[in-house]
Amino acid sequence: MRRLTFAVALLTAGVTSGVAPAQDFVAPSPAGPAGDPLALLEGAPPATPAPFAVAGATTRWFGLPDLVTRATALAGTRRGAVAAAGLSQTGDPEQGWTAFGLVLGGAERGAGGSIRAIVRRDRAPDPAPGPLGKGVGLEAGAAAWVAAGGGIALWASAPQLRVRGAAPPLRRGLEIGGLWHAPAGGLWLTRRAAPPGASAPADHELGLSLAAGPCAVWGRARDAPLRGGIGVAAQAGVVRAAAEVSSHPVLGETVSLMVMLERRGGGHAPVEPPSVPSSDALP
Amino acid sequence: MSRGRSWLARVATAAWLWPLATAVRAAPAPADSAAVAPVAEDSLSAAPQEPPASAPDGVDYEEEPGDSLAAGYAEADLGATGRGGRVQSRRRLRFSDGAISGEERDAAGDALAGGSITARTAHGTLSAGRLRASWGRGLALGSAAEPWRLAAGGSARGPSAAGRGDAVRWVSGVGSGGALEALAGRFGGRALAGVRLSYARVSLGVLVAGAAASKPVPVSPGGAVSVAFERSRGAGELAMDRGGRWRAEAGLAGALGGSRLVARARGGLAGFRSLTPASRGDPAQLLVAGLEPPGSAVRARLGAALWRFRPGRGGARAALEFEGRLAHHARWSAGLEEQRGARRDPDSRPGALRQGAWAEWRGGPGPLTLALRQELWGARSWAREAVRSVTTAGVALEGPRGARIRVTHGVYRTRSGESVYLAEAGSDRLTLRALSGAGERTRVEIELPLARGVARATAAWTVTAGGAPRVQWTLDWLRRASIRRSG
Repeated sequence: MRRLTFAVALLTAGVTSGVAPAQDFVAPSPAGPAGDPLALLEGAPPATPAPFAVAGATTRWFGLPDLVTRATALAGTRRGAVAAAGLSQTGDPEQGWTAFGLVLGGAERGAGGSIRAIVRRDRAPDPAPGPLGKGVGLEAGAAAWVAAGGGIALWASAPQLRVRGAAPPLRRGLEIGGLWHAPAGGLWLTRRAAPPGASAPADHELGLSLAAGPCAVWGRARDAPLRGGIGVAAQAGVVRAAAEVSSHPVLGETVSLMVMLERRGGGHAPVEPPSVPSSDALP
Repeated sequence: MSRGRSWLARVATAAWLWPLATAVRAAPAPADSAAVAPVAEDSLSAAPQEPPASAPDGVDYEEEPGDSLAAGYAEADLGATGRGGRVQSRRRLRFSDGAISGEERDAAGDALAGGSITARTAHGTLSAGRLRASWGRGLALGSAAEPWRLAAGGSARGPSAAGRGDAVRWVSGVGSGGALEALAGRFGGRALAGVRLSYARVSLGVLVAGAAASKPVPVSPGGAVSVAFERSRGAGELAMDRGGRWRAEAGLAGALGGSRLVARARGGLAGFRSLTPASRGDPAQLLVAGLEPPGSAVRARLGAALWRFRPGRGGARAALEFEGRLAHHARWSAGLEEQRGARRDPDSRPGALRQGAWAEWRGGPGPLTLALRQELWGARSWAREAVRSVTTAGVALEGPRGARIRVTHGVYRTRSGESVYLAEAGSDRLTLRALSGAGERTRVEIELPLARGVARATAAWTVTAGGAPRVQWTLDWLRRASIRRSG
């Protein structure tokens, strides 16, 4: 049932791939290694995160009032080990679904890796039976990044290495990308392979982020079909807020908002674009 | 004489009793287990992988890894593999004691199965079992190098199963620097015997071969004469069959203005046929050149090849490859290649143009290594009208005491009739996994030290649109120990 809403929108538009790079734990952030809990759960490889962070986000997909994702997650790190867990709910009680995500990994100076698992269950009263139970689906994946020198980080993320039970709302293929990071911002390029069964080719994303004081802004452009998004983030003390609007030429606008509380040892965190690895994580 | 069950193979197997018994009596040093090398990286060359032309398209291809065992060691590799609900055990044992060495692979339906033993005496060397025989450039006997190997940057692979046969070989020294070789056996279902005399790096050999009931055309009895020479900067061979048809090849390697130049030329009649199956369909004429300019940070390789099986049936390739090394053992490579014409005769798609580009990066700090690769082939210029594409990402994590985990994930897409090959290294073989259509392949490998050896577990699954995952797994334990007597 949970595929219905997406499927209607996609089939109406004649689009079968390249709709959204993320789903249950989507949050406004640039691509690349990340430290915030929602990005970790969505499949980003772990950069050095805060010792503890909790975040909540809401996303309205394609301007559809009934297709809203609400997610909350927490993450922590200790001695290089990273863990994150979160809960997400999308859609209404008739056609929506609930997802629980867990990430375990490690991050150190210049490298990081994680494995993730997402369990979903349809919220419909009588979901379709499956091998894991009625309306239950599982996906497992992994992600890793390394510093390649010269302020460049390269990463790979395969969020759906294994899928079992009820199909996920969107199949996601292998993503590889590179990020050039500078104190004033970053520039990234990613390539997302089309998942099996998708007729569309792989899509690419080019993004640019700029940081100024406690604020950061970024923009991204994707092909197949050509579309883009703009995001902004600001930090005040332990609170970070971010928002992003992305536009699809057929399906409409998607709006995402996030608020995160993070605790960093020794005081306030330096402001940097969310998701971009901190400067001490890169050579 | 069935493969892997011949009397020669049994003799080779029985010969294991001696070195194994020796190994039991010996006292292997603890450090010996550490001599077990980890499984090699999947990609032996950054260039795109493809099986030899003698192998059918779209089918998995396996070959030996090309490693060797140092004298004074014995190695046991025991394991099992599963695919599609079928479980198959396999075993590989080998030893080398300086004077005597041998190997035995035992697995039902394994193309690499078979055994061989080699004994060195004061009078010569005797080998028996499943042997790979090659004279000179491989024109009359053996496996001649394919012209596109150089164009693609060469190959570091080991011998394929197609070039081997059940045989006995004796090589003895004659005079100072001379050698006499006698060979008798069965290659590709055909009885074959030959004698070769070598002196001053020039050799003259005579071969006779019986008939073979090969399909679709039976092979009649034949014979060949081979004259070959070998020098430090070049080698050549002239081969002539019983009907007077000839083939000649010469290759050289030298310097040209500071660059390394490799060239190879072959000529002859299209009707000439090698006596061994591995080279039976080789081009009659070819011209190959490779140039590697000097460079330390970035190395470039340029290769080009032209070949012809017979009038109207030929092909050409040109490749340009770059390779660079970065800090922290990271390296990158990228290349362009254009292919035209037939790779075999007959070919299912003769004359097809393929233009490809690939890029690969691998590196990482400390115990974590990341590898990314993108390869794209098109049927039009600038790799447009894609016919094959594959994106691969791999992560390897080194643990304590030699423990290692490696995850490789590839996404591929091919047009109908096309295949991509993903190289997968195992403990005892390199497999070029043939994939067609659109799908994903994931492979997880775990290596752990166990019982003074190394235990390896591999699971791989391929997911295609609308299909259930096809799972393959292997489990093996490998131990290498010294068989030198203590004290």
